Amino acid sequence: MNFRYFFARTIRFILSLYIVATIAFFILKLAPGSPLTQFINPYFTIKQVEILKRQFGLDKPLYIQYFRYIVSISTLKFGRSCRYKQDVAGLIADRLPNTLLLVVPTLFMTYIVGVFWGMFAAWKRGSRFEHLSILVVLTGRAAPTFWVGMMAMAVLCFKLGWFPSGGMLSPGAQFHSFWSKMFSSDFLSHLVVPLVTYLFYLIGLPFLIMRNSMLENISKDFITMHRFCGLSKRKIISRAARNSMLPVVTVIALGIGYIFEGAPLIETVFSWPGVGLLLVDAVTCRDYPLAQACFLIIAVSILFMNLLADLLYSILDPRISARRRFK
Amino acid sequence: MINKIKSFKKEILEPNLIVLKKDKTALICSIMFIIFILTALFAPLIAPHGPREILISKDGKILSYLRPSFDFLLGTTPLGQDILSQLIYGSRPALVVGICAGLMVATIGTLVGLFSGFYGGRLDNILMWITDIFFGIPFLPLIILLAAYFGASTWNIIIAVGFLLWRDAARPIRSQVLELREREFVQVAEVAGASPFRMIFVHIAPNIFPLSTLYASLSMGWAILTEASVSFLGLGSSTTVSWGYMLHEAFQSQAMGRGAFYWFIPPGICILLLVFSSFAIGRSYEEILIPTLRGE
Repeated sequence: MNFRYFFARTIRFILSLYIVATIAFFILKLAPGSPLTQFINPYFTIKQVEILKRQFGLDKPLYIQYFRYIVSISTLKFGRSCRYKQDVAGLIADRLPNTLLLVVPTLFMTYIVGVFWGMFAAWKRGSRFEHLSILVVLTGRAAPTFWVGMMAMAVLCFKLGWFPSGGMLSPGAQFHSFWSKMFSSDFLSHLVVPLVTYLFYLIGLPFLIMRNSMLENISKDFITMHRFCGLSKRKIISRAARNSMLPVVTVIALGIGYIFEGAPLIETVFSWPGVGLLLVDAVTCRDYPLAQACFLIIAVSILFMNLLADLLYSILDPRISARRRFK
Repeated sequence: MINKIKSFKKEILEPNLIVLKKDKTALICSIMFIIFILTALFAPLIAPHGPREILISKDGKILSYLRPSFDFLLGTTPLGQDILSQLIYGSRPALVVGICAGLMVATIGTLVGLFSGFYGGRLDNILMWITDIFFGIPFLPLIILLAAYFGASTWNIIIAVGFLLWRDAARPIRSQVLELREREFVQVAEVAGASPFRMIFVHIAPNIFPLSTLYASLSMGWAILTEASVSFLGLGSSTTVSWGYMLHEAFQSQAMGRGAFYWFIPPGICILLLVFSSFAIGRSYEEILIPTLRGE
């Protein structure tokens, strides 16, 4: 593990975090209208409005407001939600695990399926199977996820009645522990349709990259050599695949970005009680503190998982951290 | 002048036509794209009704929840609006968003890539650092936030997409510029005393053009998807009928539960076709540009 790389990457993570937080602050400040509109009603006197402003610290100059904002969000004080009349941090802490329960299995499934599918597509290059696979994958990329979700729901949940339509658990379901919940048939049956929809959208990246890098490796000398030696097809594929995996690993960070960005849509369609749905609800109800906090949490999740992925590669492939250093 | 036109024809037009000749997908997608543009241009002539017109039968009833029939090819919404007309008018916002945002992304991305790659050094470091930061910003959530604060309008979405997605174009263009910078014709121009601006815009930029086109067409697809997503979430412009808005209405009024496939399938297909064709056009460019990708 390259300590210098680790350090530099962590610094970049913190800086990115800071900049995203700053952007969120200035969007709010630049936006027309006052954040107080939620509280003020037309019968307030000017004096009352001013008291309110002082309570929220809005009478202070911008840089002090900014400083206070940075201090409060770095201590996880996001304020109170106007709609739920609760602490925003608590609301998010309730919802974040639900998002992760959807995102993490999807991520694993997407990369496992994508890698194997891409591998076979490259092996059968030029065949009808390959052309059809590419068409399917590109369709998944171009189709709006929420629409695919709506179709899947209309057919699988309503028409055929195989799966429950939306939500994460049946109403009233109770479990002893986290693990018994995760492996209960109730939770899994709720998970299937959103996961498949999501997978259809995300599969393009690992599939195409695996296919391309596999195509490159298949034409290399060492594979030709294996062929001459009379190795079985399975062994040749697995050796070519092992060398083609690295580019796929390097795009996982990008995949993580896509998966969190898609969360508001998937969660809305399937009424999955995660952070994405919370963000959409907050925005629809003009609950600004909550919307801002949800945005920040999604951003932090993406940045943090990117950091993790980057650090992992640098362990897997020492060339990455070295390359960065010499660039 | 004639020389310039000739060189334009030779350098820019012909490679593009080759793409169409070689690649059937690209040809089909281009035709599809042109059909969409014509539909958008002549929407009022093609559409049988206004997109928001509430249809009333002769005996004064609102024609709501109609299934597809000869009079209403795709049926009507619960509010008694003709779905086919909405579909036809929906091509307008999609294309406006796609084309404007695509141009914006390509312009910003190309400029950043050109300056970053050409000047190198500190400017390069700063610009690439900014690009990295932009990669860390969650795209759709930020657009949702912007739509919430600044109000939902088509132009806000275009600007938001343009200001965020240029990051995808900047890096590849920069590395291409780095390569071109070392080529002889650029070096000769430098020795001959060309100003940096002349070198960037006269000698390097035309060679970047295909790559910019690629990113313009890709981000056009993204922009259309984004507009649809934002409208689907109910945060889009409330005055224009877009495909995303249609899907929003279908979702809100439980069209899936009622099995009203005629309502929510067509807008999705339209988005899919338009986005697919813009991706495919970009992809076939890419394959011509980077011949190793061609599975021959």
